[in-house]
Amino acid sequence: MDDTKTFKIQLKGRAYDWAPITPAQLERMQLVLAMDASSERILRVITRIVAASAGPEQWETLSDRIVDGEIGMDDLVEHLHKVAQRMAKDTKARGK
Amino acid sequence: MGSSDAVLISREPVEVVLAGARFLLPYAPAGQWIVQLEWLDTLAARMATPADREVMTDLILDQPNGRDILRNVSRQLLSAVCRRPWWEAYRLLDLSVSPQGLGHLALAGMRPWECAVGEWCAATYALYTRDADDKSRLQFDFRLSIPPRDHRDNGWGDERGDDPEEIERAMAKMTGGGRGITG
Repeated sequence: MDDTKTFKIQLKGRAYDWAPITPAQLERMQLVLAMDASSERILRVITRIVAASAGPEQWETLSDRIVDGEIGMDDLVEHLHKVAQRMAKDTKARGK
Repeated sequence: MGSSDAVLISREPVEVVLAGARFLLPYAPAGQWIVQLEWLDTLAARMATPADREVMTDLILDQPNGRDILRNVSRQLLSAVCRRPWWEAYRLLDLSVSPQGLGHLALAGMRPWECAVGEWCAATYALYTRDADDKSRLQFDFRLSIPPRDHRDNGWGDERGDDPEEIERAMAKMTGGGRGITG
């Protein structure tokens, strides 16, 4: 996979460039959700993934929107799935 | 946890060991187990107290194979409280909330929020086998006992189980309900 490739996807009206999310990261995210962990733990795992994928500059604007309550955990989870889906589609297309 | 069948009616906490740490899961009635069964692979965490669940989450996230550890512990837990292999317990609990199964259990005076999960499981088995002749009972026992395809333990070695979907279809046909093993 091309590590420099990013995917531009909108999150609540603003477009962000997302770096690929690894299956291990997705698995961790799904695991904390399935464990019914506290919001604090879920937030810790998800924000780490988001911060890594969106990069430091975008993360700063994103975290402001999270703190303001404009973006919720559900939005983030759904969005990370979208990034993973786009990533999978892209990998598949290049494999043809 | 004790090894006798008395565990089926026990109201005592259940001990689990997860990544080397011991946890006591408080007693919960059958209804609680059935509601959480949808998350079979993380059942041990879901049945824990919120404080223990936090510790479990940290422990599991720290382990490279945390997901597998939790899955195994969760399945062992279900086996322990129902005194059956986990897939048998899962199938019985699933059958117990099919409209037909639940209706019969309710008419028999069983209440999922008033009895232990082991009791509920035993009652479900009794319900589905009480009027069966030897052949039907044997068929039911056989289908119940077939491990799902992904199951591995020392007793079964590398043998592959039958197709779980096929088994569930057969079980549903026999009993008129069921959602199948999703974990």
